[in-house]
Order: sequence, then C-alpha cells, then structure tokens
Amino acid sequence: MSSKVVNTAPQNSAPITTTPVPSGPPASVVRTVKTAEVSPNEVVVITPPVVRPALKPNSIATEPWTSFGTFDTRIFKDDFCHEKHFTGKVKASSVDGATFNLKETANLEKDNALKIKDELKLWFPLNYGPQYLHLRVKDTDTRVHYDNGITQINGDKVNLYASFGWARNLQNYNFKLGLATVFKDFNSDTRVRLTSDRVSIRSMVEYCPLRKGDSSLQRPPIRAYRCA
Amino acid sequence: MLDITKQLLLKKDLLVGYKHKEWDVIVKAEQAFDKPTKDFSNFAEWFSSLSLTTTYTHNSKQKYAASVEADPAKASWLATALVEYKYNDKSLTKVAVNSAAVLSVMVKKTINNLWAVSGGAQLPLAGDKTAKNKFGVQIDLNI
Repeated sequence: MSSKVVNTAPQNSAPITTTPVPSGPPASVVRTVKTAEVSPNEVVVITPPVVRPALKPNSIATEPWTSFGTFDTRIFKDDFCHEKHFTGKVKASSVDGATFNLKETANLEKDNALKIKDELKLWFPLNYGPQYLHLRVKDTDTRVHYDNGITQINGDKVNLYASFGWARNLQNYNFKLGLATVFKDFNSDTRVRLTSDRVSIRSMVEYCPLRKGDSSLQRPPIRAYRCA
Repeated sequence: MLDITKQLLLKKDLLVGYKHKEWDVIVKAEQAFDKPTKDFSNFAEWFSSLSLTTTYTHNSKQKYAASVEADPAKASWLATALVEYKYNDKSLTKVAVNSAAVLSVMVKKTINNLWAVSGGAQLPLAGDKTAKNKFGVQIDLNI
C-alpha cells in the first residue's frame, strides 16, 4: 500500500508527529521527527503550535499608583498624541508570548532643538510557566523586573516580584521587592523600595466586590488582582 | 507610600469607582511626590489633585465623558468634556474641550493588521493665554 507524504511545514518549524501506514491492522506508532526525517511511507500530522498571548506581567501596572482596570481612568489621556510632534511605536510578539516594544518620540523644542527619547521594553515568560522577565531600557535609565506569577500558598493566591533599576550614569540605583495578594473581593500590593538614599514602602489595597449577578469570569484571570 | 528613612508619609492616593450599566463614576484623590503633607490640620495639603470623572458608554461607537479636576492648594479647578466616536473597528475620533477653552482633537486610523496612524492637535480657543497650539503624529506598527 502506497502512502502519500503531506508536508506543509516550513524548515526549522515545530516538531512533526508522524504515523506509519501499515498494511495490516493499524498499529500506529507516533514519533516526533524533523522535516528532513520524514519517510515517503509515512503520513504526516502537523501539530499546530500553541500560541501564547502577549500578556504583560501582573506586577507591571499601566498607572504607577492605581491600576483599576475596570474603570476608564485614562480616557482623557489615551490616544491623544499632540504632546510630542512625532511618536513611533513598534510592537512585535512571538507565539511563545515574548513581546518587544519600541517607542521613539521626537519633539521640536522652543529653541528649535530636536529632542529625541527612546524606550525599549522586552518581556517573555520563563520556562512556559507563570514567571515573566521584563526589561525596560530608556535613554535615562534601565530596569530588570522579575514577576513570579500568581501562585497559591495555603490556598491564597500571591504574586511575588522584584526589580532592579539603575540610571544611565550607573550611580543611582533602586531595588524593589513586592508581594501582591489576591482574595475574593479585595487585593493588595505592597512593595519595599530601596534607593541609594532612601528606604520606602508602598502599599495599595483594592476592594472590588462582585455584585449580585456578576460573574467572577468577568474578571480577566491574568489581571484578576488588579480588580479588573 | 512611607519614607521609612525619614519616617514621612510621602504620598497617598484614593480612588473610589462605581459602575452601573453604561455609567462609570470615579472619584480620585492623588498626592504628588514633591508635595508631601506637612500640616495635617490643613486639608489643602492632604492631596494635590482631586478629580471626579464620569463616563457614559452610549453604544459600541459612542462614549461620552466629563471630568472636574481641582487643586486644593491653588483653589483652582478645570472641567473637561469629551466625546469619543468610533466610525468602525478601524477609525476612532476623540474631541475634548475644557473650561480654559482649550480644544483637543485626535483621529486614529488603523490601516491593516500591521499599521495604524494617529494625528492630534491642541488648539487654545479664546481666553487662555498660557496654552499653545500643539500638533503631533503617531505611527503604530504591530508585527
């Protein structure tokens, strides 16, 4: 019995699962092979790659002090682009959830000097787990941020995170260690910040009860602790 | 936010929001880092910005918003009204005008899955001498 090889996968693609076509009763053997290893007597089944959404780490907030995703607190700021003469944004995401953001702004100052600012952000999941590494490089400072993801300790959902940042002159540094907790109706986020001249602590508590008829599914699971 | 080194309350923020059907009401009190409270008996030093924002989502295309922002230390306030209109999934316009007679306009056009272009302008109408004309262009590339 002849068989036909169906191979639409590009080179260096995800592993391909193949099943030999027997002449007798089917006794399928499944193995993972590279494209070049496929025999003409095998039927190729291509497993589609799992696409991971390009989500930001939980502890990276849109607004530094309040992150209430439910409420539209930024409607007066978002989308307006007149503060800078030119803004260019590039966003690239991979199927593994890694994301690259580049933002360039150019502004013509009063003295006709062109002021350009750069901002680069890169974040990706570690080992396909809930952990994320987030890197931000600006023309003034750099920050490396580790997010441990929402994990359960004794049934309570917690998110540990830490970040280390330094200025361009490599002198002013800061270190943050944070713990966020996720409960049914309220969440908290507390972080200790260490700089070269100050130790400070910031705490935020969000109380966001589900009303009668609301479903907990209305809260996006990843950003649940943002009261979203 | 507490400065443990100097034992000083650096900053406190408070947000209370209520959502009912198409209405969102947000009361926000924020304190700037450079304005810590030195005299707690003076309420004007508690927060550097107080705001009340209301948004009404009429349908998937139209959204309306109004905001009043006050600075307790300067005893000044600014009211802003905003209209957001989505022509379709690819085109968006926002128009805002505030009590200082400053008009802000933006238009966003999503060309395809990769490209989007926005244009914005701020135009002081009669009255405000401090505001200036501002123009900007934004290009988004999503790979």
